[in-house]
Amino acid sequence: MPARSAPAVLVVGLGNSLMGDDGAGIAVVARLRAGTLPQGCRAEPGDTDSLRILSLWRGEPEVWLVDALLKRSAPGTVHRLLHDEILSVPQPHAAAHFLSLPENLRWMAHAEPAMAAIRYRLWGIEPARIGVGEGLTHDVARAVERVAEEIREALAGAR
Amino acid sequence: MDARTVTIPHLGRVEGHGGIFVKIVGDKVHEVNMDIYEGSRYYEALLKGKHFLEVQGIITRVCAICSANHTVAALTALEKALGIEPPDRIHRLRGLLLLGATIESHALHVFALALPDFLGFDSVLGMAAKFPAEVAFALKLKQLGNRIQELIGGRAVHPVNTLVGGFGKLPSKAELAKVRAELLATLDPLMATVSLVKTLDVPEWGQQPTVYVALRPYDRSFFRFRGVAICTSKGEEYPLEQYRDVIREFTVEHSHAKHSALASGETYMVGSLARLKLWGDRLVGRAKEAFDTLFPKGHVDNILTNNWAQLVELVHCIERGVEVCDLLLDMPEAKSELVDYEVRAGRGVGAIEVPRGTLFHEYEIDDDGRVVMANVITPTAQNLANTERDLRSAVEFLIRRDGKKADPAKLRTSLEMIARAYDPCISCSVHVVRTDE
Repeated sequence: MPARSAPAVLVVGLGNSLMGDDGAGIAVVARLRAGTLPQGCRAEPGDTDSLRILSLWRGEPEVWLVDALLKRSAPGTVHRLLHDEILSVPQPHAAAHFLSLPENLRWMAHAEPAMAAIRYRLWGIEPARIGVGEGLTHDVARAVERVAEEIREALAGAR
Repeated sequence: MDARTVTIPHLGRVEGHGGIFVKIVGDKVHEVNMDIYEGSRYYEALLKGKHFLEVQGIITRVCAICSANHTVAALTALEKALGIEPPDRIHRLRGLLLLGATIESHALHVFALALPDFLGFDSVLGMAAKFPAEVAFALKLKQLGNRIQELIGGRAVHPVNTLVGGFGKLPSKAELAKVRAELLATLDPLMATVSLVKTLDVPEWGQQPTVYVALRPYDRSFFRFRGVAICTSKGEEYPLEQYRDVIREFTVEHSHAKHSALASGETYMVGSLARLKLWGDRLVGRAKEAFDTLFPKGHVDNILTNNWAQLVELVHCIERGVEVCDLLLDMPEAKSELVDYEVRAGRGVGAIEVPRGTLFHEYEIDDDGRVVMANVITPTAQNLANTERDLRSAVEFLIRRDGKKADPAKLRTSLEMIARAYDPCISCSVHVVRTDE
């Protein structure tokens, strides 16, 4: 558990950078890591397995997630979801080893009761293309810049 | 005559995208297809012309859950092609990496995917109200598997520390001792799950005589995941290098993945149940205790017990993991270990037992180290024909027992349980292009 007065924040980017715009969350984390973050704040890639948050978490009271999010809006649209909205996203099992994000957040809180106190936020970036290949489309790359800047400002404000 | 179909457009709780289609006319089953519509990967074609040092970084990405397994199989094949004999420490570390991958995979499959079916819940979270300790333990066990892969492979998925000839960085003794302690701490809760599972009934519609295939373990006396020959439950044994003669691949219209059969035309099963059938008598310690508890009358020809076989293997992985840590802790500490070698033309086959069965990799490289030919046969591709056979057998059993009253919803659940029992990794199975033809 980090020992400090201001709340620490763990930012986790989710997605697959080899699948086009699915790598938006990973790209945001890369931008954050390229700069200096406020003390106690970390940005980590979680790749495609949100259960990895359990390994990445070091007691931060807030975990902010960044991921590609399909809501049928214009590519590059940024969706901002608060804690209760994230946990109520209707999402069936995607595959055997990749349960849905809300399921995984609940499972981790069950396995590690201290994680039940975490407050989550999610930045979801509407993708234009999810398919084999590296690189983001133009609108999503712009959105990645905006989200990285927004998170950086929010982290500074949270200190 | 009445015709009806049972369709499961998307098979839940398996890795990748597939479905099941069954056509029944009267009381006869006319058609059973396990449709694999996951997009083809073409990994073998991608490798052609690449330098051998690039192979493991590419092939490991065929799948996230199986990445360590593909890595070790590829390195084994390439090192054979290059005439490299990895020293004992490298062998042990790769073994520990594979154990970590199996712990991660089996923990998820047994606890999160199979047990909810047997206990009557729709998901692992649904189980949490009645079985809170088991649901919490499952995730911790999965994470331990991830941590082992991270320690040995450099990261939990798609290892980067695993190289032709050895490892870039070796774990410290302190790190190994920590993993050893964590492994030991899981044994009692794991055996408690064995006791829980012992109380569960296994439906008889999963019964069907089957031919099993698994590698003969490299160790003459013990149960191991790496092997030296291909063995069948019919008593046949073949050198690894003859795998293409033993396993006949063929295509079917409804699947992006190839199917497989033995040269005799018989379908067969690879995986935990096959390993226990052939080598279960070599288990020791609490793994033997788990085997005797869950299979009191010995091995059973019922694919649904593959889930129990995975649980037995989990116990084995934990105990073997502790042993391997002890062996590594007895060696002098070092920062890295890489074998010197010269690039030369050659051909090599790597075969290892991974969570879902026997995985084959074969590579041929030229004098410059460029890949001339690559071939991968995954366990799921080998199991698909047998899966369809077991699906047909289950439907026939249920129609015989229940007649036209057979509840379609129960029929669908039964079919899904059969398919899930194989723990298919559809993502791995779809890579149909070979570069040597």
